[in-house]
Amino acid sequence: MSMSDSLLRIEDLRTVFRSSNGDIAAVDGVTLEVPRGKTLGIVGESGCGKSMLSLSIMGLVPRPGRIAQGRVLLEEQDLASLSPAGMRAVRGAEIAMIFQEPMTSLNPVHSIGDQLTEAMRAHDAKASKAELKERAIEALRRVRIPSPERRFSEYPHQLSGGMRQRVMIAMALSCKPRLLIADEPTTALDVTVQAQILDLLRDLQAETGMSVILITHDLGVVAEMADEVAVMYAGRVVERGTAKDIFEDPQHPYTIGLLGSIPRIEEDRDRLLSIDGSVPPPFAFPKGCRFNPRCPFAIRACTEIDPPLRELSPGHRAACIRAPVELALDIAA
Amino acid sequence: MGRHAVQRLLMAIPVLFGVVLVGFLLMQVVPNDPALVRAGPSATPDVVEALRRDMGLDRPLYEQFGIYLWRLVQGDLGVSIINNVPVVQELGNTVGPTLELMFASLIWSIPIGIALGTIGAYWRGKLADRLITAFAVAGGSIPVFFLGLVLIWYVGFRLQLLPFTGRAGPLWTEEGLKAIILPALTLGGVFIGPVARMTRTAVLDVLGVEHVRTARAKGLGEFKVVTRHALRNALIPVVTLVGLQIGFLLGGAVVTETVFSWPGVGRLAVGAILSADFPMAQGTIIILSLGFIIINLVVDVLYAALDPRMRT
Repeated sequence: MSMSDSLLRIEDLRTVFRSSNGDIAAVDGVTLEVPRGKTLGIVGESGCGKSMLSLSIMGLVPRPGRIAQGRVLLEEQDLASLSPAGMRAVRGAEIAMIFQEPMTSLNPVHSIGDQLTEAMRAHDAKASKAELKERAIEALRRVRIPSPERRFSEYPHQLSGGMRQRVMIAMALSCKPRLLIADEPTTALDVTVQAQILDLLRDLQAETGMSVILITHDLGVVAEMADEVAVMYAGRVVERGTAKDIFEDPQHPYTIGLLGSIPRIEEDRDRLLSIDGSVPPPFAFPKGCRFNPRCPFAIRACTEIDPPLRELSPGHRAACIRAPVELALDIAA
Repeated sequence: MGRHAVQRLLMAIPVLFGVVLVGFLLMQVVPNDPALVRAGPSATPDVVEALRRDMGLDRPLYEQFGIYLWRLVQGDLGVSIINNVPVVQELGNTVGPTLELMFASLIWSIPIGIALGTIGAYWRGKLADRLITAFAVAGGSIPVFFLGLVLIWYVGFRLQLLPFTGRAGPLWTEEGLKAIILPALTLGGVFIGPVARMTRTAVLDVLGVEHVRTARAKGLGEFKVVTRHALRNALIPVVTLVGLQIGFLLGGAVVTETVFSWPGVGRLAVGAILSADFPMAQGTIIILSLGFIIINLVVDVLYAALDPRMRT
């Protein structure tokens, strides 16, 4: 992918938390591109650093964390080096974000309308109150909320989870951002609502031409939505490629393990494959490849060599010294 | 919301009844004999006995209470056995100054306490927070009378800046305003600490909630994030806690009024108890309890106003 095709480029990003044993990296040297008008899915188990990566892009890393190294380039502008005020102007306007918990992501004491117009006013101080209200109702209509005029003056507790997530999306898109970061946008919703929200996101993306970073642990969602996929493990990207690459020709044992844990109707399996153990915390990363203690294919070298991302085919990279071997075949055996 | 308030109002009736009963019984336990107090030290036993009959003290306790209650609902709290002034009249004269003192104490201490608590929560663990916490703990530990005496000695006596005895007129006159400064500083001063501590805890809780992150993600400035999305939500528990504390502040008012000779209900209560003026003491107990109940009612209504989830 050439540089001009990407809206956002993350270069060697390292986000650390200070601790008594020195800095601990939650995001450790991540390089990624977000294609213009397309969707990048970032996948991984909880604790892999995917949420911290998104907060790093937004400049919202909670204290005592900070970006220690690397650049976040939106077009030509490095967000990581912006002043707090400069970053504020980007947040919500150029890059918007929606979160996992639609129940708690809206403020219970302010009306839907107040929260929507507040977001718009933050980036357009000149707009009149009536104009903002009109735009807010229009935004609610765009996310297909029925009777938006009435919803405008209602409070979050009067809405269902799916409706709240729609409000969040309306709020995120109210300033026409070029990039939307959706952090587990459907995880807390039931399956039917989940599908509706994903449909909505896809339609809105087609309508506005924005790029989307979709962060999830749910490979089904990624398969449905993403054009490109990055798999994260222990603060690093371990495999990147197009959705086709990742789903049809996974090369990293971790990716293969993740794919093995999706239930499939067409296959008659006695049990789901799963990856034993869990992501180690940043202060307990093993030597060598960080996945080696959980990897069924690990050899001795894996405990010594920290594998870099290698390009296996154009655009398809994996960080495994054993790739490309026919791991997929091994696993079936 | 209206029904909610009415409900609360009705619930206040049994509470008030309990207060009257306990106040009445307390006065029975006190080793002083009202008839003896009324008659004076030089009265003969015959006179005392006659007075006792006259005051109804020879009747059974439940009858005495019934009579007291019956008069109470008619707005009659009896007369002082020291100077024969109706208790209601004396209370009427002193409620105003007490309300004035409470108002003057809270009007500055609550905003300052809330501001300090919010600052402490926002810069948690930083120097500002530690100073505020130290100040709050120290402030909350100083006895009211001590702070009052220090202010009197230093500001009033040494520097001769402000008067420190009694009320000099209504708040809107210069003299009245000057006279209330030291009492209000005393009573409000001990209140800042608790308000700051409660606010800090509440704001800290809200700052960790997802909607605060949403507010930042929208590109709001930090001031708006903290005031509109953290403090505004934190006010819900803070109002409840502060309301409860104001009740306890009535106790502080008793001490402050005594220290500064402020002609309020608190000083009246102390005087009445010390001189064994039973009807007067009972009256002040009732009025202070009524104040407590009203404050709790106001808190309930405010609570519903602050939290939209309570309205539906």
